[in-house]
Amino acid sequence: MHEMAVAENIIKVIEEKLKESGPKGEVKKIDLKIGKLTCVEPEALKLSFVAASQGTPLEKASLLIRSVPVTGKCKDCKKNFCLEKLDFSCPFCGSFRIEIKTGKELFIESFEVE
Amino acid sequence: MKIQVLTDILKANQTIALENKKIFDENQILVLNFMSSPGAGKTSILEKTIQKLKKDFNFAAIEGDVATSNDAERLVKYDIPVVQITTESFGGACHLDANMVRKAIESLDLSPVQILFIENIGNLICPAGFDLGEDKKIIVLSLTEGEDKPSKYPVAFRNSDLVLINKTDLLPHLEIDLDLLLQNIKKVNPDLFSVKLSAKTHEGFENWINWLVKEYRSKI
Repeated sequence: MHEMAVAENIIKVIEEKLKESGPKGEVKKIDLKIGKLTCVEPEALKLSFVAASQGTPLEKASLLIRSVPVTGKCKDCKKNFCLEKLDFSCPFCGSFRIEIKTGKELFIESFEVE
Repeated sequence: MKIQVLTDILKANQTIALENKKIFDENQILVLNFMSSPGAGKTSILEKTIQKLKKDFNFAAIEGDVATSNDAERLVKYDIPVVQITTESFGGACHLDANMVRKAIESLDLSPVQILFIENIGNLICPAGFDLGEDKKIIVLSLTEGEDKPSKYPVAFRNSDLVLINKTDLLPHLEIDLDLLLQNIKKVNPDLFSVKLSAKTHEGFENWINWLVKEYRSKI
């Protein structure tokens, strides 16, 4: 259940931003970008966030989670591809020598304060 | 009002991990982060390694578990400094993070230490996502777990530098296809170096010890 740790970190980052830039009020929405390789389960994250945000200015915020697919480039045939399954081989030539381009993201893109 | 942030959620962990790394580098300590499923044999491997190399190196260990100090008690017997982290107080977290390690090293005298083992919590999912400031990540995989663990938990295997395939003494009693296991490891991480060993019979230990000594020498 590292979703709880991720939820706590989201709250920490946004509380710091609120202190720095000073918009007061309740956070309504948080836009997240989460790669498929992070093993973060969106529904578990939402549930953890509800629990962890109680008593903070984020407690009413909804999470908008944009999932980022795993994409890569084959070092042998040089083709770009998207991996549907995590089998880490090039779907074109079968090579295991691949470079992962996206899928490791764990970002807060923006948040909205009312 | 919409506020753009574009911040890495685990940036705080990454920042502390880099600070830990700096502390380890300044003290010339090789730091190894051990990950595995529960019961794969991390502590047994550490016990045997410490026994074999105690005259040559000064070891220390950080033990991570959700509860109990059983593993720390096993290592303290070898007269090395051991800090037990139990994550009960962190909500039963399923992995160690950089800040827990930072707190643990505050209670260690690092100056004589040459090799620090960090035994992560038994779990092949979450520990892979949290850097601690280590030099290398090591996976312990025991033969009783089956051939398909690398395929089922690819992220942990992709993020690691070495896999120790433990419990080879059980091979005659198991139906496991060792070649298939090695192929599955190569599929998820072609660069992952593997060593087959048995913490019980010490078979294959020399290859692991050679790797360890080489890593220490290349760091210092």
